[in-house]
Amino acid sequence: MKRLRECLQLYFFFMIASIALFSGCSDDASTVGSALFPNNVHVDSLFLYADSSATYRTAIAGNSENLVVGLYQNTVGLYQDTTEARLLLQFSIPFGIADTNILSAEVKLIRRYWFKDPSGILAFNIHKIKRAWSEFAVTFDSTNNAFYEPEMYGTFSQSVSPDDTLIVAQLNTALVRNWVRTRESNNGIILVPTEASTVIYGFTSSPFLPELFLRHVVPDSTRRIDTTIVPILQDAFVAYAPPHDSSPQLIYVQAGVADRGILHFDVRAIPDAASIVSAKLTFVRNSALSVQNELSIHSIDVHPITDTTQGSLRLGVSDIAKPVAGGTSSEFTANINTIVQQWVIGRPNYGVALRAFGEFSTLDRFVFYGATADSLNHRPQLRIIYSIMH
Amino acid sequence: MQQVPLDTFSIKLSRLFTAYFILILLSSLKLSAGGGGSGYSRFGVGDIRYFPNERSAAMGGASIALLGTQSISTLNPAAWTQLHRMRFSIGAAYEGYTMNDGSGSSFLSDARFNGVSVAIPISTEDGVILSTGLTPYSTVNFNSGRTGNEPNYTYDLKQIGEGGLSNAHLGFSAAFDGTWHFGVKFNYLFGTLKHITEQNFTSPELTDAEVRRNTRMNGASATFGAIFSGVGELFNLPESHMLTIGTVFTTETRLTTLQENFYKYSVVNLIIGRDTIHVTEGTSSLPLAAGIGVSYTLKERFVLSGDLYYQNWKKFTLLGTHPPEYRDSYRISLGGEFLPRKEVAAAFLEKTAYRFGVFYYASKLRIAGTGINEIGITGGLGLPMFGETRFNIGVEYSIRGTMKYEKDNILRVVFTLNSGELWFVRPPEE
Repeated sequence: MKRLRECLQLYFFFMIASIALFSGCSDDASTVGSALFPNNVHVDSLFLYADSSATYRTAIAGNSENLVVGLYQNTVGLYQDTTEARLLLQFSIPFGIADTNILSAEVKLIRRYWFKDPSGILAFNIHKIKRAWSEFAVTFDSTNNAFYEPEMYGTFSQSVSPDDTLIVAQLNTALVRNWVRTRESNNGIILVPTEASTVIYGFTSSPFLPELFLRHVVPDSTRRIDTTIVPILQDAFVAYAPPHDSSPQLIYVQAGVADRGILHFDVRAIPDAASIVSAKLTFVRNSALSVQNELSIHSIDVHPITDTTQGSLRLGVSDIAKPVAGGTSSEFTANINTIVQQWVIGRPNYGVALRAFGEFSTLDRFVFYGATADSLNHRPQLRIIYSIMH
Repeated sequence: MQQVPLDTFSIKLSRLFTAYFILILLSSLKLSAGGGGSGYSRFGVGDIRYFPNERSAAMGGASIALLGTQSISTLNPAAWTQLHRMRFSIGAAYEGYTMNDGSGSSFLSDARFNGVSVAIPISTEDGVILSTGLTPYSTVNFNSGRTGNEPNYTYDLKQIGEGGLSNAHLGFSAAFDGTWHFGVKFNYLFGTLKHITEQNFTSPELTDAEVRRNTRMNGASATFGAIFSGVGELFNLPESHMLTIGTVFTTETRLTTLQENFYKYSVVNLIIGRDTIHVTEGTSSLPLAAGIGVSYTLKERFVLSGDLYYQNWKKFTLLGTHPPEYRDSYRISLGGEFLPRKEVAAAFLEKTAYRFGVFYYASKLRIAGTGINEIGITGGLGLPMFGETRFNIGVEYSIRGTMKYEKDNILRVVFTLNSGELWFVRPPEE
């Protein structure tokens, strides 16, 4: 019994000691003994101007939350420009409507955006689209005269102001009856602005907007008149502006059209294995040539260009550049440390592409000073802070 | 050989200790990447682990001239000649560091696997023993941090060390005339030293970075040992008094070395890039080592032993360059053991071995003219379990370094299970 007691005492002593020893009670890393470690971290900085800049155009289909239509022309003064937007709509005609009983057809649009001026004349003609199209693939060039019939199935011309949130355009019922009789003929309509138009408006696009209102006689004994709201099947807008002045001193970034800018910086002076702590990109807007308003989205996407083969630029995930003081400030900045880090670790440096944040939903135009701007303060700059750990 | 049957209680107690030890070993494996250790381990190949065997760990490390029937020496292969059974030992170690540099103190601890060895008698009459094993040679284990300040931002900088070198050995021993004992073993050193530097900014917009420098090394050396156990006869001492002297020599080790840096960059814990840059390939050189020792045994119960062990660290090179912080090292170890009784029928505490020791270690480091030395005391027990099995506990407390850089108060606890069987042993022919 005594021996058992002694041994059990020994056993529990070891267990308790082990629990104390192996309880994992260690402090966090501290500065104690830091004098034994060399200061193996070196922080440095590099300031660069863009060594080149350019503007390039890419055809897009605007299929976001805005549908834009209208025409803006400025043919006088120092800065002459033209921008045109066309709107494509295709509605899903429901069953149960008799073609002979359609009394009226109205397209209703809810305004949420305008380009340049909000007041003026909005004028467009409505044409029947002759062939199938996709809201994701249609471009301005594809909406040529062979795309739609010359006959007009509706017109709209009205003086508009910011108070006008609802636009109603009458649609020729013969077109709708044709869709009811022959569903395969329903490729939708295109709204083409006329020379009389002086404004460009943007309208809400959602699963329920725009709407086609059909007044028709119900084909039963009551012969009552009913209104059917036809849902939208697909919609898009396409835009055009003449190629901009190819001055290397300016970069054009315009949504909807779409123009994009390219900036290139030579970062070869950064040592291998550097950690890019911060890379602040700054570029300055030319306010006189830029076209924005209170509805504009004042942000620019900055993408790394990942590939230049196959005739087009492939872009990577973007950072966002915003005005320094917010809103209408002329200086835009973005921290593109993730982009510059890719260049440092060996990815090809094709530069960055600037895209309007609302490229698929607006026509906002940003004009920035380029790599050869007269004033050094206007040229795109990249301030890099990097860290070297040995 | 007549064996005394074990009673039920002893069997149960032995099983309790076996289960306990397995638990410790599993815990040590799990915790092998634990909290950290001394900043001195960042130099060269790390802290050199001086662990000849579980017996001498509690005797101040004295072992060069120490013959024994149970412990497998990883320092002097000549000490194997007295192993008349197949021996197996496996161990775990705990280390706790309380560090102080005048600005503050910190406690870091770690537990790890402490090696496994096997010895197989080929000819017990001639002391021909074959032994192999795997033991840690060095340890890199540190965890230090500080704050960096630059204009407009601050960052936390961490230095973390992991890894070390291991030693796989294979050797044999032989005895002549019953008084001369020789041994040779071949050592294969291998492992990876990892130094990790992390830079983490307080601002989430800035890029955090981590560089992991891996240094892979491998190379071979040989150790030669000799023990003369007839010194007592030369001095006409009674037969119950045994005096031995021993010596050991390990050749220089040339290590093939490959060093690579791995970089990782992240923003808000999202990895944005990785890179690998090969720094260099080449060779490194661990210097030769030599030692002498003497031991005195009285009636096979009481042992005193002392060693002087030297290593020529001035010749150390890392990828062809000799670091300026290195100097020659030497270690003086003194220790003793008391084993009241060896008979199987003896009481538990009478069969327990009691050990003690002291040591002084002038380490390989001299930083800016200041030598880093260590002084310590040791103690331990060899607890009998069933048959030839012993559970050994060694405790070491030492003080190392200087407040100018870092003063370590180190507590090391080593647990080793040592067992013996008659496998592979042929009985003497009649």
